[in-house]
Amino acid sequence: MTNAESSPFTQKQAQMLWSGYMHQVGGLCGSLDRRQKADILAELKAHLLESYIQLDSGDEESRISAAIAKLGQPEDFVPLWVEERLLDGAQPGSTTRNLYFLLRRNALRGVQQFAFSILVGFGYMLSFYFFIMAVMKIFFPVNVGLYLSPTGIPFLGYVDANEFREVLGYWLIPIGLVTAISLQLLLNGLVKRWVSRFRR
Amino acid sequence: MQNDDLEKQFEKWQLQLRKGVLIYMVLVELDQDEMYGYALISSLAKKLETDMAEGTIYPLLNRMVRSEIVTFDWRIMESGPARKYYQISDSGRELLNRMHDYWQSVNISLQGSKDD
Repeated sequence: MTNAESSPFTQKQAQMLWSGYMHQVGGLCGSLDRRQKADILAELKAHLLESYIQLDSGDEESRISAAIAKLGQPEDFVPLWVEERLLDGAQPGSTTRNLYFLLRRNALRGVQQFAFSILVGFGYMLSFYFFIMAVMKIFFPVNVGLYLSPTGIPFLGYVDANEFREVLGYWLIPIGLVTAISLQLLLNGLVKRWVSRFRR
Repeated sequence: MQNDDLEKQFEKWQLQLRKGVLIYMVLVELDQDEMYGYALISSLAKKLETDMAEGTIYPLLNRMVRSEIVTFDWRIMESGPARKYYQISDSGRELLNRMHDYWQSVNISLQGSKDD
C-alpha cells in the first residue's frame, strides 16, 4: 500500500472490514486536530498491515479479521489514546482547540457521572419502595396498594381506601417483589458496566 | 475459599502485576533496540504470555512519550506504510536503572521471605 487512505485489499469483504475499522477509529478521534488524527490512523494502519502480513495463511478477509481481533475493538483503546493526545495538547505551547476539547471532555464526563449517580440513586430508592409496599400490603391489606384517584391518577402507597379504587389487590405482593428484585439486578449490572468503563 | 474464587483472585493479581510492570518491560525492550509499535507489542506479548488487546499499549506509549522517557520518529519504508519507531531517552534509561534496582531488591526480599 502506498497511499495511507486506500485499502490494500482486493476482496470486497476485507476492504469493508478495513474501511469500517478505520472509519470507527476516525470517528473516535473527532476531538483531535487533523495532524493528531492522521498520526493515530497511520500508526494503526501500519500495525494492522504488519499483523496481516504475519498471518500468512487464509484469505484476505480471515487474515484481516484475525489482525483486527488481535489489535482490539477501537472503543476499547482509542478513547484512552485520544485522551492522552489531548493531554499532549495541554503542554506549554498547546493550541486553544486542544485545551477546549480537553476541558469539554472532562466537563462532560463529570456531568455524565453526576447524572448517572442521580438516576441510579433514584432507581435504588424506587426498588426499595416497591419492596416496602409489597411487604406492607401483608400487614395493611386495605390501605396499602396501587390505587386510582377519583380523577384517574395512579398512586402506589398508603391511602384512605374510601376515596380511591384499588387496582392490583394482593397481586401487589408478587408484582412488587419481582419489580424490586428486577430493578435491583438491572441497576447492579449498569453500575458494574459504568465502573469498569471508567476504570479503563 | 473455592477453587474458582482462588483462580479469580490470582487472575486479578496477575493482571494488576502485568499492568504495573508494563512500563518497565517497554523500557527494557527499547533499551535493547529501537522498535516500532507492532514489533514492540509482539515481543511484549510473548514475554508476558498474555493475550491482551494489542491496541491497549498505544495509549501507554503516548503517555511515555509525553513524560519524555521515550522518543519517536516516523520513517518512510521502501515498501509498505511508514513506521513510527520508538526509542528510549536518557531520562528513560535513568528511570529504567532505578526500576531495575528496585525490582532486584524486591526479588531479594521475596527470596529471603521464602527461605525463612
